[in-house]
Amino acid sequence: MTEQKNYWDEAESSAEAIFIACDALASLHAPLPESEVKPHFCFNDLYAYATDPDLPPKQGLVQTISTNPKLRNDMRLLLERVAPMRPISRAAASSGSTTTRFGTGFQMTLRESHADRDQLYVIITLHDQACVPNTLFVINDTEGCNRVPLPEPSDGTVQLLLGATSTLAVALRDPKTDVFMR
Amino acid sequence: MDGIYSIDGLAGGTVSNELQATLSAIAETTDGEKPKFSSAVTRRLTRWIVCRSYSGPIHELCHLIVVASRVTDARGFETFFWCNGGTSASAFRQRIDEGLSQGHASTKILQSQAASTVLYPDGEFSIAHTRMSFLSALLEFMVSTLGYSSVFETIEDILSDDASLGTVSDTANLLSRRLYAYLGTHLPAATAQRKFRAATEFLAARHDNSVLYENIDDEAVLDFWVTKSADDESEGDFKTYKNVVRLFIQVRQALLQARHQSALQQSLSIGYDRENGEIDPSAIDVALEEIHERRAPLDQLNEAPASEIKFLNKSEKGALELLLESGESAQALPLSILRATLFGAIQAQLTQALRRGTDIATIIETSEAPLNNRGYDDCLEDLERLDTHIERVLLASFYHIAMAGDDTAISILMEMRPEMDLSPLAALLPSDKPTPDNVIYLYDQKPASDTTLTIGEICGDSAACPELSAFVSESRKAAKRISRQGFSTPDATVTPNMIVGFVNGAEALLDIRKSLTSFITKISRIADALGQWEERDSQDCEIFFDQYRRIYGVSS
Repeated sequence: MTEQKNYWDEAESSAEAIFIACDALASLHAPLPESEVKPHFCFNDLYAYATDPDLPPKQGLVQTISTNPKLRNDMRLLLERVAPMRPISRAAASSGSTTTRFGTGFQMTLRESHADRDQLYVIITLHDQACVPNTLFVINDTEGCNRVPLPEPSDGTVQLLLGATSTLAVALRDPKTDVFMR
Repeated sequence: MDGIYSIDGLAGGTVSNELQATLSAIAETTDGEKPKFSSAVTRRLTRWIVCRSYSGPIHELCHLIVVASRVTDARGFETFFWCNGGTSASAFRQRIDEGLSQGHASTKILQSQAASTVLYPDGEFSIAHTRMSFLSALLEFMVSTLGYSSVFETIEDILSDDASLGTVSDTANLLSRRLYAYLGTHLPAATAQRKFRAATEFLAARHDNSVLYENIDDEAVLDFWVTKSADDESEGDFKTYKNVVRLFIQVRQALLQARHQSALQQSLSIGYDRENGEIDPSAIDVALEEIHERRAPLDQLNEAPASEIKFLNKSEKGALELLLESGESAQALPLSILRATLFGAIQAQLTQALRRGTDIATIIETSEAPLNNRGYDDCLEDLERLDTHIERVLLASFYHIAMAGDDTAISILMEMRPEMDLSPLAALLPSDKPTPDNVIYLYDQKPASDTTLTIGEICGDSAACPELSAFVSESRKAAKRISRQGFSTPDATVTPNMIVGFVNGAEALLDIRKSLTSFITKISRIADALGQWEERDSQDCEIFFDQYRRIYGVSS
C-alpha cells in the first residue's frame, strides 16, 4: 500500500502552507455560532454510557443514539466488545404470550402477567451465577438505546416487571432488538 | 465521509462546525473529575490536525493499539484507552506494567523506564510513554470523527496476536487515508489559500512584486480593507475590518516563519526535496507551535480549576484575544489593533443589524455621532484599566496562594516585583537547613502548617522585610476588595483545588500582562508622537464610516 501524498504539495510556498494551517487553527478556535451550540459528543461519552452505570449519560446522548444510525451502530459494536453478556440469537417472533431470546450466559423470557394483562415480566436466567450483571442495554433501530439498572438476582434469576406498552417492553418484544448485559 | 457524533453532520466551504464542536467536546472530556486531556495535549492535537502530517503519529498510534490489545487481552484495547485512571505517561505505563504482570504478552512487549517496545515477527517498534497521552487523544479524535465502527473495522487486523510490522503499516496508511478524506470535507483549504493570495498579491503590487513581512504595516492593512471590503468580486470575504487585521497578522506571521525556516532549510531538509519546493508538514508544525502557544494563557484561564475563578470576564477576555493572538505583530500593527477595537465593535453592530433586517443607515448615523465622544484615547484608557485590574487580580491571587503556603507565591512575587529586595529574609531562614547562595526559601518542604517562615510571620515582622510586608498587606486588601466568583470565598473555605486554580490563573495572567503592558507602552509612544489623538480620530472616523456606507450600500 502506498503512502499518502503530501497534502502541502498543492501549496505554492512554505508561507502559504503555514498561513493555511494557521487560518484553520484560528477557525477551529473561533466560537461556534449560537445556532450550532448543541450537545456534541466524543467517543469517551459513549464509552462512559456503556461502561459506567453510575454516570448519567451526557445530555442529548441517548436522544442522538436513537436518531443517528451510525452512532447506534457504534453503540452496538461497543456493547458487543465490552458487555460480557450479549445476544447469541435475536428473539424469535413472539409466539403467543411468551418470547425468549438467548445470549452468552443468559436466557431472557418475556411473559405476560396472568394477573394483569397490562404488565409484562422480563425473566433473565443466568447460567453462571458468578457473573452477575447490573445493567441491561436494549438497543433497536426504532426505539434507540435504553440503559436499565437490574435488581439483584434471586436463585440465578433476575426479574423485572414492565408496563406492557412501555417503550422498553415494546423494544424487548421486537425480534430485531439486541440486548446486552454488564 | 461525515462525522457521526454530532446531531447534524454538515460541512460547508470553511471549517465545519462539526469538526470544531468535536474538538471542543474532546477538550471538555473529563474522567469524572478533571479534564481527561491537558490543554497542552488538546492544543497539540488541534495543531496536528491542521498541519496534516498524519502518517507518523497514526503509525505510532497503531503500534500503541497493538500494545493495548496485547496487555488488556480479553478485556479489549478500549479498556486501555478509556478506563478511568487518567492519560498521563505514568498512568499508561502502569496499565502496561499491570498487563505484563498478569502474564499478558510478556514475551511480546518489552518495557523500559521511558518506552514500551512491541516485538513483531518481522521487527520491533518503540513508543515513548510520554507520547501516549497525545496518541490517546488522537484515537479519541479519530473514533469521534470517523466513527468507532469504521476505525474498528480498519484496525481489526492488528488486534490479532500474529500482527506484523507490515500489517501495522498498512493499517496506519488506511486510517490516514480515511482521515484525509474526512478532513478534506471538514477542513477545506481553498478559502484560506484564496485569502492568502489576495493579501500577498496586494502587497506585491505595492512593493515591486516583493512580498515581505516588513511591508505589512498599519497603512497597508487599512488600504487593503478600503480597496477590497466593498468589492463583491474579491476572492474572499474582506468586509469586516477586524477580519482583515487578523488576515494580515496571519500573513505576516506566515511570511516571518517561512523566512526563519528558509534559514534552517539545510537542517530541516531530511526526507524532503526543498529545492523542488516540497514542504515538510513537521516544519509547518514547528512554525505553528509558536503562534499557537500564544493562545495558551487564555486557554489556561478557561480550563478547570482556573475557570471556576473569575479572573477576567467575557468582555475583558474579548479585549485581549486579538492582542494575544498577534504576538510580536502587535508591535508592528498597533494602530490596526486599536482600530479593530474601536471600529470593530461598530461594524459588529452593523453586521448584527443586517442579520436582523434592521435599517443599517440609522445605525450608521447613530453610531457616527457618539463615536466623536469615544476615540483612541478612550481605548488606551480601557487597556490601562484592564492592566490595573489584572494587577489587582494578581495581587489577590498571590494572597490566596501565599496563605495556602504554596511555593508558587514566590515566583509570582518575583515576576510582579522583580526589583524587590528580599535579602533581609535571609536572617529569618531556619539555620539548620543549608541554603544555596542563589535561593531564598520562604517555606521549607513541610506542609504549610509546619513552615518555619510564612508570609503571615513576615507581615507580623514588617521590620524584617518592609517591602514584602507592604506587598502582602496590599495583596490582602486586593483579595478583600474583589467580589468576583472565586475571590469572594472566605479564606478558611478556599480548597486545595481552588489554590491550583489561583496558581494556574496567576501564571496565565502574568503572561497576558506582559503582552498587554508592552502594547500599552507602544500605543503610549504613538500618542506621545502624535501629541493628541483628535486628528487621527476624525480622519479614521471619516474613512471607516465612508467605507461602511460603501459596503452596506447606504448613501451619505
